[in-house]
Amino acid sequence: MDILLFDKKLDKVHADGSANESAKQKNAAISRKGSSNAGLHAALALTLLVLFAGCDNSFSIFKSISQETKQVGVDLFKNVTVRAMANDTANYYALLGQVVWRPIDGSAPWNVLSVNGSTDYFAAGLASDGTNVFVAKADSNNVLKDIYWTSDSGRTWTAMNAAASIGSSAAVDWLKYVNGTLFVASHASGVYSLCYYDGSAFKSTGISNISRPLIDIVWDGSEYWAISDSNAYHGAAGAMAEDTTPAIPQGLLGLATDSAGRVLISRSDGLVYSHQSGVWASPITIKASTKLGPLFLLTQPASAKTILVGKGIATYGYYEYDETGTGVLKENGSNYLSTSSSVYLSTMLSKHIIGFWQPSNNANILYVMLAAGGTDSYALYKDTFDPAANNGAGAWSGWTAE
Amino acid sequence: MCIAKCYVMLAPEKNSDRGGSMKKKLAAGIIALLLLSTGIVWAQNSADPFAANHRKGSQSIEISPGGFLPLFVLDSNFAVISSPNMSPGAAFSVLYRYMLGKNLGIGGSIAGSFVTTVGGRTLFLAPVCLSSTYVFGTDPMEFDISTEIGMNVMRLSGNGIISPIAKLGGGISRYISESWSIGGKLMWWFVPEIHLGSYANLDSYANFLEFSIGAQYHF
Repeated sequence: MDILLFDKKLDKVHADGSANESAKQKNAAISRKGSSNAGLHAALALTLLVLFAGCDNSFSIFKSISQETKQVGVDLFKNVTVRAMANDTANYYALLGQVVWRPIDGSAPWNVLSVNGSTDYFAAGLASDGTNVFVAKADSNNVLKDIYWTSDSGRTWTAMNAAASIGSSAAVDWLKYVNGTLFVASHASGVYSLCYYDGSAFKSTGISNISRPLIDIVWDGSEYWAISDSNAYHGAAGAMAEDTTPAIPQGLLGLATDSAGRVLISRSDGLVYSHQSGVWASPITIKASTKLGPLFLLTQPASAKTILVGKGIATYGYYEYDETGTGVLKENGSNYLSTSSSVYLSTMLSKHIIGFWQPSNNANILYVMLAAGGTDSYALYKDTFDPAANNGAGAWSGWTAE
Repeated sequence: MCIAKCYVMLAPEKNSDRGGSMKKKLAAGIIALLLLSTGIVWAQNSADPFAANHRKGSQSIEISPGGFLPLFVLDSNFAVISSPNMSPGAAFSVLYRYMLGKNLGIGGSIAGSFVTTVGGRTLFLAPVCLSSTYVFGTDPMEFDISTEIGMNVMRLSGNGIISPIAKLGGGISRYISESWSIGGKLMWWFVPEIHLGSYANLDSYANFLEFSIGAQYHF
């Protein structure tokens, strides 16, 4: 009897245990369901948050579309990168894989330039002083063959015997003609060097065998300034030395100068460093903690002090920074160069700015060189300044595909 | 047994014939009955062979790929913007429908569409809507008129806007089995772009036409 009773109690305990277990499982299931619901709600809330955060009340989609203009450019510039531009008195030149050119007056279309009697070549660099045009030719491995120059728009060419002094295994990164001197940035065996032409041979600027690639060089009126992607250098053509100030590892991106001798250097932290008369000024914050790109100082309209700054990424394109007063940053083409933001967005969006360029003989024309590979769009756009527009204050026409 | 005897008494010489005739009549009757019942069933089916899809609780899912045509855009003053600058694109939608009765269904839809612009940009629209549908027609064709309202996410050049949306349209479909029908539809998309506060002058109202073919699964 007792045993029976004990068994019954035991059964009850087991039953209770099962019930408890069942309840626990049910609770766990409810808990799981609850946390699953909470997760779902969180995901939904996050999605809505992201969607609403992506909304811009000041941007009108259909108005932006209605302001677009159809861009019809030359097929040569579709899905390519324009790496440099140059001009002589009669022609514009653009560096793609080869050099293409057209008359300034538009009397003929863009075409491949024959260099030293051949149109079958790879061009590694292009520069000009407004009269003479310099082209670096390379082989299929980008190894320098020679640098040629012409003073008659490509009819005759003179070889500069560059490989002998720069190196027979060197690859040219870029050419630039500054203050009457031709500079050649090159690399070989993983180190980078900057040479200049002294009238008879290419010689070292003092920047040789550095570990980081060179970006650009300018003349500030008294000395040359060059940057690698990590350091700034300045000095005479054959004696350029490193400056410690704007240095940042792999963070220097653009270099520009103005007629007053001011040198500007853009960085990956959103700052633009300014140097004038031997003094570094407080850096200009273009956009804090934002990677910048190439720089250009706009000289038109003359009353404006505008810096064009390429964007690091953030869908590329450029900023326009008005230095007047405390400084105003304009994004998405909302000022100065574009007639509307839709023109800017339909021409610049998703494209990396390689640089801005103005012909040496016309400050009212501005070109932007872009990396347009894979965009099914153009890599070269032109903007023209009309001094008579805007009641004599002048205005830019907006970007038009070349 | 008795009946058999009577038959034998009345015409003993034709017993075998009579028996065969009876069997024939019986067989004919059975066949007639079968035909009749089949006919009734067929007739019933003919009246509405897919009635199961038009009962309360019937559900369906429709998938519709198609084209997307920009019609016109009105500005904040309801004047037509002369250059909408959009080219035809494509649309894709998935619609769920729950029948409340023989003719009326409610449900929801999710869609995606895009158009390209003259400047080479692409406008994406992704509306999520509640829908109501009136269904009518006779075997095997079915017609529907539907309205949808919901929210629409638009993206252009990295800029996004969430706006309301309304759709109105109709379609025609044909049953190819009890579970499947195929057809086409036209939907007018009314896409107001609403801006708040001092940007209210940027309001605009776009109109698109979706034309699509679709397959609908009924369950």
